[in-house]
Amino acid sequence: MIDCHYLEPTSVSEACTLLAEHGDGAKVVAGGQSMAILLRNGLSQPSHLISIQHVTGLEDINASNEGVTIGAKVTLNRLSGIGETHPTLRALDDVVSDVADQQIRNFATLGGAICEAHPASDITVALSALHATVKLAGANGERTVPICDFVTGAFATAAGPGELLTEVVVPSFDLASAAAAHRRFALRAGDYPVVGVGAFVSLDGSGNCEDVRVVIGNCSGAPAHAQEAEARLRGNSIVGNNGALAEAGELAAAHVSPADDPMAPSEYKIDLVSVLTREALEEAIARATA
Amino acid sequence: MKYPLSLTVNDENYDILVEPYHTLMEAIRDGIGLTGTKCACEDGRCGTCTVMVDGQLVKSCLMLGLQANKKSVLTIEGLGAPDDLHPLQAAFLEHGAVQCGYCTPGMLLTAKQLLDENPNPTEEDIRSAFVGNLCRCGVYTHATEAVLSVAGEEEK
Ligand SMILES: Cc1cc2nc3c(=O)[nH]c(=O)nc-3n(C[C@H](O)[C@H](O)[C@H](O)COP(=O)(O)OP(=O)(O)OC[C@H]3O[C@@H](n4cnc5c(N)ncnc54)[C@H](O)[C@@H]3O)c2cc1C
Ligand code: FES
Ligand code: FES
Repeated sequence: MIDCHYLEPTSVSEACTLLAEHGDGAKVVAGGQSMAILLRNGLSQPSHLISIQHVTGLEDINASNEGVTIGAKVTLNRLSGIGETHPTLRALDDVVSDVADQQIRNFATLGGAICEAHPASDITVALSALHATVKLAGANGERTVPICDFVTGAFATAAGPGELLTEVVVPSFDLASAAAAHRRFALRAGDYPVVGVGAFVSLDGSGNCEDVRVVIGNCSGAPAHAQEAEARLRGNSIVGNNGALAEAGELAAAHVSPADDPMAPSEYKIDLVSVLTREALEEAIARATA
Repeated sequence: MKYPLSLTVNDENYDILVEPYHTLMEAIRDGIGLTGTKCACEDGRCGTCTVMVDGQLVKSCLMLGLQANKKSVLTIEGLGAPDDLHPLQAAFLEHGAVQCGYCTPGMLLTAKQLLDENPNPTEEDIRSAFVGNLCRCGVYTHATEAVLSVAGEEEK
């Protein structure tokens, strides 16, 4: 283990300055729930750990006309039940209580869950279905990036050196005609999912599909967008149309070519994509028409 | 580079030196010498290293020691004493919820947090509280019964 320093900035700007100063050797520690393992395994060997524990202003949840803004340091336990206060976040609420266990959720932060960029991350899949954006602060100011462009591959993000994820924005949508849902399958409670699928649908005045998103987790490095499944549904009648939803499930399954992993072989994951896509779509439609 | 770490563990103050990458588990076991907190997977999966930090349950192998600086930690040694068992410890013994005992410290602290937050949990609540605590001997049913037997009684 190389010599490692531990720094505790108290503001976003101080954190960004330290990150920029120490470049590639600097790593953020939020809840530490992934970082502690990366450090122990030697997968991360930073010269400077920048703990954001004492950074203020990253713990708020605020709703406005544009959407709901969630601070990067909000813990996953705090997000449990968030769909009741902020109904546009129900798809996120679908997953938070299934992530790991209460010990981990007590300290795991939303920002950390995204920046870890684990291929099986439930949080990223749910937020991608919701078209969330992330705000990054850096020494040269702020920028906003759609979450689908932020996670670029397995354990890789678009955060540049010196950039800190400060908040996540989930845009508002009309709850009377649109909704999202997330479905996952894990081998055991507390495990990362074998496959997770997030779906968003919005309906036009005659009940046809106006917009749709299907996002698949753990079948590629970054979450995959099942565009063929989306194209099958967009503009078509989907309420109660089980045939169309089943076809969308099959198109989503055809979209991915996952590698075997210790949890499941590729074919098994492909079958799961088909089933979970249909179920997530059904649930989203049920919510949008409730 | 070593940094000073100041912890209150079971109401006693300790000042030790740790590397930034040392976990709270290492600080407790190797730095302070309290080995009731167990170490098995060191990967966040088994829960044997569970402790409380400022009243919140955490797997101590997943938190850096320095993240707990100036905080108050409860380990199994602080829950009860051999001649003064915590009601949960007594109930675990009575219900045969201890076989090899390796998972027991973590299970007991998880049970304590559950009862602190919800004095009257259902069986379902108890089972979901134990999601992060694995037991290779399979005492889950007995542990659940033990917690149920304490639930609703006066907490220590
Ligand atoms: C046993 C186990 C099971 C799990 N199961 C699941 C699961 O089922 N589904 C799921 O989705 N997740 C799962 N997780 C992952 C969990 O969600 C993450 O470990 C946790 O959310 C990370 O958050 P943290 O605050 O602890 O981040 P840290 O561990 O502190 O950081 C994680 C990474 O993000 C970077 N980082 C953190 N915050 C920021 C920021 N604000 N800006 C820039 N970079 C940042 C760090 O540098 C590091 O690279 C599991 C983890 C474990 C250990
Ligand atoms: S040793 Fe910490 S969870 Fe297994
Ligand atoms: S009693 Fe042996 S691991 Fe639980």
